[in-house]
Amino acid sequence: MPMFSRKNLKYLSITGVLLIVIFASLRSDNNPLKGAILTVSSPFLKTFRIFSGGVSGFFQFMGSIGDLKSENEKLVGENQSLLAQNNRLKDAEKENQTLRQQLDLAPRKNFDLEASFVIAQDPQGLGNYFLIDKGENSGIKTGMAAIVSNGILIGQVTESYSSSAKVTLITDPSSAVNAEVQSSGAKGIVNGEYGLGLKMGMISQTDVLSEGDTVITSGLGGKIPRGLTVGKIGQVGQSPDKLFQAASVVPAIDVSDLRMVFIIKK
Amino acid sequence: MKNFALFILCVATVFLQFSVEGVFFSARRIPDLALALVITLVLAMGFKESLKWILLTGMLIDAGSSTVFGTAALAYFLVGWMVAGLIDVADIRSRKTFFLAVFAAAVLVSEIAKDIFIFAILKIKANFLHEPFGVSLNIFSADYFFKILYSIIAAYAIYYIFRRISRALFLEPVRLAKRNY
Repeated sequence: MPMFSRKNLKYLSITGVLLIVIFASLRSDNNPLKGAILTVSSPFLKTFRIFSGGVSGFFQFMGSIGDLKSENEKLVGENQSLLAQNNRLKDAEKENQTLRQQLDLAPRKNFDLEASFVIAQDPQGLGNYFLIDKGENSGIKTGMAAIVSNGILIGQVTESYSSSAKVTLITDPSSAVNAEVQSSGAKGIVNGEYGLGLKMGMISQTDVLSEGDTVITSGLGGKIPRGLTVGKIGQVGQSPDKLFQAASVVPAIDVSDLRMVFIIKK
Repeated sequence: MKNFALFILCVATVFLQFSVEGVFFSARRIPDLALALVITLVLAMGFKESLKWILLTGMLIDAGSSTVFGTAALAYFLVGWMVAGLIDVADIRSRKTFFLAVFAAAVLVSEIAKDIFIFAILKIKANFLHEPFGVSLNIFSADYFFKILYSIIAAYAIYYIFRRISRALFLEPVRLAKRNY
């Protein structure tokens, strides 16, 4: 078959049209066609996700019956120690309220949260974002922070459609979060690294960092509230230009296995 | 009826890839069902006949993907064209084992070619917008090996389901595409 036969010319012109579409889309992620397709498909995606979550849960339950007895004994023991711990925490809660007021930490219960289901992940398996089942109709806007129930920051809303939104994980290299080491107050910027890791950079050379220190959001920049957990300090080193300290940060949770998230609206 | 069944098959495949696979597979091992469908359609119906369904599948994947809109559609289109070229030069239907081996090889090569293509487009985008480049592609990792393996198994499954559907629903059961697509 000759290279420039009528059939091949047709296919080459389709390739050309698609290349034009790609280069036209380079400037913006907010393609109206993309938004329309996501709006229509969002309820179906949610149904598929919930159903598959149920099926997955059933198989996990069936597979774990053998472990339930030993796990139960372990939980009884844990329950006893948690009761004791609970009493201590009640005292700490009062102290915590006072300290939060002094440090200007946003009390978690005062957040205006919107609970959302994760309905889809990156179909190409790149793993740096997911879609949720709430969007502009529920007051979700670009830039809002996404957390899980215990105040752990997982990402930010980067695209918002009428009934769905895209949350880019903090592990994405394009993500940058102003953070602070809780114990020393050292400030820096947490970026995603290739794969699913985190790195904290721009830390002053005079700050003291230790492995295992908790990293929280600093609230600088105004978009993400102060006091959300990011992770724990791993290895401490120097930035390539030796001007700042840098450290790997171990994320507080495995962001690749999320079912439900909360968006902080205020 | 045939068009409706093919539409449902394309949409269901994309929905499975978007929404369901993430529950069962880790993010970097998600098999590419859409790619498996594209190869199945080209092998079963020929490239010309399956062109609109390939573009539909690609556009749907693009809608929910982090890639630039149109990238997956073009990648699947080029994969379909490549597989059609394979049919054109070799009669892969002659023996069942040979067919299964060629089918697996087609998925393997297509998956790698598609990922390299998407990687290149994302890199161009990052350079174009002066953004940090956030994607890594390591085709020699364990994750990638399992992704390919799952995609091959998914391709066999989709091919089997497609043949069943075509026998049950299409007025003219679809047979493997002949040479000279």
